[in-house]
Amino acid sequence: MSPSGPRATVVIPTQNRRELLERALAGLDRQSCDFDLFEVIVAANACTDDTAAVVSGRRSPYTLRLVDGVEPGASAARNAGAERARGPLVIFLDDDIEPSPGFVAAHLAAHADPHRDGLRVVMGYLPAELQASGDLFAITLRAWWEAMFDVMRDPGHRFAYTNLLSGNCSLPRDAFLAAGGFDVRYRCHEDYELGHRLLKAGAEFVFAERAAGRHRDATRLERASARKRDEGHADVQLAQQHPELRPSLPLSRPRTLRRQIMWWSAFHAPAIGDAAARGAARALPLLERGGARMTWLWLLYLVFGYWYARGVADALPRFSDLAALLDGAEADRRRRDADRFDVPLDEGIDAAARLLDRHRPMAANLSLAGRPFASIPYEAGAEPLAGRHLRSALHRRWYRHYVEALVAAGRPPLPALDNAAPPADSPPHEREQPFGHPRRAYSDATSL
Amino acid sequence: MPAAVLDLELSDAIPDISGLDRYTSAYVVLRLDGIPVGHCWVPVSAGQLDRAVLREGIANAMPALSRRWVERELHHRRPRGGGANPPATVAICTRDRTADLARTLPAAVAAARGRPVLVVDNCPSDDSTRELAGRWPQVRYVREDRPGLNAARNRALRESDTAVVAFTDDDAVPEPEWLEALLGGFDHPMVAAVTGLTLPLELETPAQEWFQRYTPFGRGYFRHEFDPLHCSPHAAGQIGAGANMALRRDAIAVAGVFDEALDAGTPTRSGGDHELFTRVLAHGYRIVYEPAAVSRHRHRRSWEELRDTIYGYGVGVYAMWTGKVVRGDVSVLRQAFRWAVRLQAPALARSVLRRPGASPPDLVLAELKGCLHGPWAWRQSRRRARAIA
Repeated sequence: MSPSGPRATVVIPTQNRRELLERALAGLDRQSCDFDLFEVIVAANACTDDTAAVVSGRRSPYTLRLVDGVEPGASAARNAGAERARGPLVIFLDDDIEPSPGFVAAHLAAHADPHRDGLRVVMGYLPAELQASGDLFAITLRAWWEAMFDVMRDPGHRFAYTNLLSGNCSLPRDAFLAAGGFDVRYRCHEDYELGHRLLKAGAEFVFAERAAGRHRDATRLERASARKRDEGHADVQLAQQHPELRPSLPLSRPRTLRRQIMWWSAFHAPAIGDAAARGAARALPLLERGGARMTWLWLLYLVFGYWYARGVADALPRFSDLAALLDGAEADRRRRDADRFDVPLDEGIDAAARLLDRHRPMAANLSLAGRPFASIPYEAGAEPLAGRHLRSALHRRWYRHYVEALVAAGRPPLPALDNAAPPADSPPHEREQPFGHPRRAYSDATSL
Repeated sequence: MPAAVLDLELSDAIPDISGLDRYTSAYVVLRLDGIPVGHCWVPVSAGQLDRAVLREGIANAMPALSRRWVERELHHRRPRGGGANPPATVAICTRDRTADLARTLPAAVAAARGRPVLVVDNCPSDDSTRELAGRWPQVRYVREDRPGLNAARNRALRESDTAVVAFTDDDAVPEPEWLEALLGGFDHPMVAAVTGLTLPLELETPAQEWFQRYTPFGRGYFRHEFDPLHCSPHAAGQIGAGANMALRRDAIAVAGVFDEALDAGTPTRSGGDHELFTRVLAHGYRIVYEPAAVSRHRHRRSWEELRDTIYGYGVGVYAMWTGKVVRGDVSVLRQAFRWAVRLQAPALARSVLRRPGASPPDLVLAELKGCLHGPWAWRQSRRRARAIA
């Protein structure tokens, strides 16, 4: 070990999954960086298999330590591992992820940007495994995972607390411990909860695609449904602990009549609801065989939606408690959204971006020649706005409004656009892009 | 009354365009920095474009034009999943069309920029294609004696050793940036195929003009990503066409190669590309439509050829669907029903009532006749494919 000690500690929480753990450790054996740079702590919580013996007896090129006898739960294991970490950086790695050779080096590099200081949290990547076979559920699951990382790959992505995934992320140990670590009261979404506290403390989230690990995801529908129920439970805790997050939680989404019935049965007639959800789950393979993929997907969302509602019902005694929990959430969101920072684009995009970088507001109006033409709204649980968000918003959403505002202000960006602003009476559909539908939010589907 | 096909670069002032005396109208492709952002039909009088109509056309192209302009301002580059463009081969599947190929091949060689070019000659009746291909040292010639475009495409996939194979038809002329733009679409490990924008090469005859107006190859001027969560595999028709596509070989190995009972050269006449797209999506991969990858297609010149092509589309779609139903995928029945009720029946009604802008009745009927023949064609084709195998 180098005299200054390791620069990073990889913390792997595990419980009775010796074979998976060995695969993860073997991946760490193949790291491209110097083995003095990191140490590994396996935090075994309440293991009844021979995990402890295997870790103790293992010969590894890096320092490998075992933290045993931790109280149950991955959060407690991660906290215990971080407390004993000697590296100033903690890298959390799940035991079912096989890190790529550049994994540790990429995490270290992402923290070593000399141009920025302050608390930084680095999210790694779990690339999809390409499989020859695989049923519709496996394919869908993989597509959800990829979609989650796709948004983070955009350099103008506005990070939110839901982007913190505890399976593959890194942050300074001291900041983690000062924040109190993961909240062990959560069944799941403890990473979201920590993410929110870190963002509120001014943390900067970064996505490091090269910090990749192959994820063996063998989740099936039953387990995914149970997980959805846990998520419903956890979201009630989140709403209670951090009321400002309420508008971003699925439980506050407006409900159609069908969903209203689903929620009602989750609270008042769970026996009927459970039977219906199980019946629907059994109908899914029939739809798959008949090739009715979109109907299959719709029904899957419905089944997951029910189990989520069931989880909410687990945490709240009465249906009316849900309404009480959500009381004032929308008004709070509107109040925060109304506080919009004015970003004039008269001096160009770069000047406007610098202005946002200086002020970091939560919501903004974009204007040209004193006339607002676009906005970037407040998002509950998201990071404050920066210049890169402006660039992304102009590119993804407001490009046409921007150019039309330039033309209207007598500053056509191209000679061919003199007087070319579309006549006011032209029907909107002619001006819209053919494939312009916004992508559906993935929050229903994230982190199964 | 032929229509002129023109390109107009919008980063400069609009020039005076004259000398179009032979034409009564023009199909103007609007571009920004060379990338198409729209098109418009503009009347021509006294050999000159009607500038008012042209301005209106530019105004209609505002969405895509603004997008490209903002990208230019931002020096936007799409975040890439894996470094530089993947290595690629350009494959041209051809059959007894040496005269057309003489135009395609130099364009393909230029677009390939030193990458290998492969000519797959399908059941040739003479040696002229081999001789033509021999003129370029980087062009490799292989002969595939099993008839059918899909057999030739599969041969191209087997013969190449690059990660990606880009396909162009022998009656298309890819533009110089075509291949780079197609390969730029592979920016994510889940992208298995990229399709491009196909524009007309010429609109000299009524048949070509009808084809362009009513069954355009183009799928708009925005890049679009089709993925299995948001796009039904049966929507493959929107994705693009085999005349302008690139495929990643390892993904095709997973999803399965082209069905050799389908497409040109077999009784089913078409549909082989869409059937593959359907399977690619069903396996969870994504397909990208990239309008910066431009290829120009010479549409059929005579009305008989046009009618025959439309008939072939009907045959191909129904042959492909028949194959799916036989394999137990009944959801295509709903798709067929929707197509009939929402598009085919109204088109027929408009055509019979001679509403303005309606397709000529013989084309509508040709498509319907093709659909009726499709299941039978699939059966014939399967038998033939088995006999050859």
